[in-house]
Amino acid sequence: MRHADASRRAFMLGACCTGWGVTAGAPGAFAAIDPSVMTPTLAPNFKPVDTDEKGFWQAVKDIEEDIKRSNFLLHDEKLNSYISGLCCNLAKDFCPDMRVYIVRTPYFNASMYSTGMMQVWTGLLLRMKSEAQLAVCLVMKSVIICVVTRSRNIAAFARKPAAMRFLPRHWRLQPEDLAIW
Amino acid sequence: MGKLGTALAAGVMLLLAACGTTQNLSRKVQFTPPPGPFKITLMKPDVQLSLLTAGGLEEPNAEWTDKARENLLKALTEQISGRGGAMSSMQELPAEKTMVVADFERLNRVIGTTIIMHKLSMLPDLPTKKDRFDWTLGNGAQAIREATNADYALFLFARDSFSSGGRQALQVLGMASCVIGVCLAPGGGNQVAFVSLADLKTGNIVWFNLLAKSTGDLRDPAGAAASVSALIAEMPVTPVLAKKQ
Repeated sequence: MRHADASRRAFMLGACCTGWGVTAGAPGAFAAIDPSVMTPTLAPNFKPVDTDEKGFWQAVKDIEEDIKRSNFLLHDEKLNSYISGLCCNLAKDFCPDMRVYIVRTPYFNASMYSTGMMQVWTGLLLRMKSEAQLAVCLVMKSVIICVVTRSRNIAAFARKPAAMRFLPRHWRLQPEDLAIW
Repeated sequence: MGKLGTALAAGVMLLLAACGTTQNLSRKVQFTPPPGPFKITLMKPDVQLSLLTAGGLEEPNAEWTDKARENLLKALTEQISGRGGAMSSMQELPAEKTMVVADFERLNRVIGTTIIMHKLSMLPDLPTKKDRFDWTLGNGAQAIREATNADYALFLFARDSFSSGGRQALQVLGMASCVIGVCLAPGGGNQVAFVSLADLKTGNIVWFNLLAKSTGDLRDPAGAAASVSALIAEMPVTPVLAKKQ
């Protein structure tokens, strides 16, 4: 039984990393990859280095401060330790980087921020029938923290002029192109 | 918070476009400082500095923001004490007490936005707020008084942005287009800040001021001091202190 759990977890990690691989433009990632040979692209306890990412982290830190003092936060100790425990079990070495907040809202979602703040909405818990289903959702969020591109992608996207974001890649005029002028 | 802040800053700049001075509402507010020294607690300042990219997006900068927060706090403490108030910061409060005031910070954000939109911009007055300035946090604000032992709560919101190299190049290019009669120069960085002062006995907003300008630099202690002084310049001084001076 333990073995089955482990392989399901490994499968999900593999699936998520594959998904990430595809978005990063590596079509070859569709090929079967043995999850056990995959390694995270980031070490635990990652701290931002670039100016834009540092700014992004600070903005998210402010959001986290707000969430910590929110009336929508669930303080039930048992539930919090259960969800945190589940996340830790999935994220392993990255567990200390994660802070889980259970937010009372009926909508179906959970979210992970690059700083390690994870929000689990009660709407997600409402819709889950088993721990396995919940684990699938949470591992999908947890895996974000071990991928190097995390907020890099978002920052790169944000840097593009709004009107150009949805144009095909080779049409886009980069700000850097203009700076050369 | 981020979204509201950005929307607010953008809205203010749009509505007060080409306005380089400080808007002042003091004449509409009946604020008389108590005789003798009084205590003001500074609520968590909502400050963010960013780089304005060529595309017009504001990219938050952590280092600048930290510097600006520090400079603003210092300038406020100095200038408020010069007016007979003793400043204390919310950050000095224990965690369970900050929970009490979090709601009021959120409420004030909405009130501040409303005041700017309906009193200081071109939008019409709200029907029930014509010719009056009676915004309030409500009686519940006494909870802040109990938590902080202060007479007033000061709320500060500030956004400041600076053009990137690419943005400046675009501006130069835009200016060059004026030669053919069509000026397409994009705007540069802007500074938007507001302070509001709430009387903690009643919850009433007794002082409010907005600053919107395209010069100045909050990263620099002198720039932050100048902005703070523009913001609270007309705030009345305690009578006792005024006599001493």
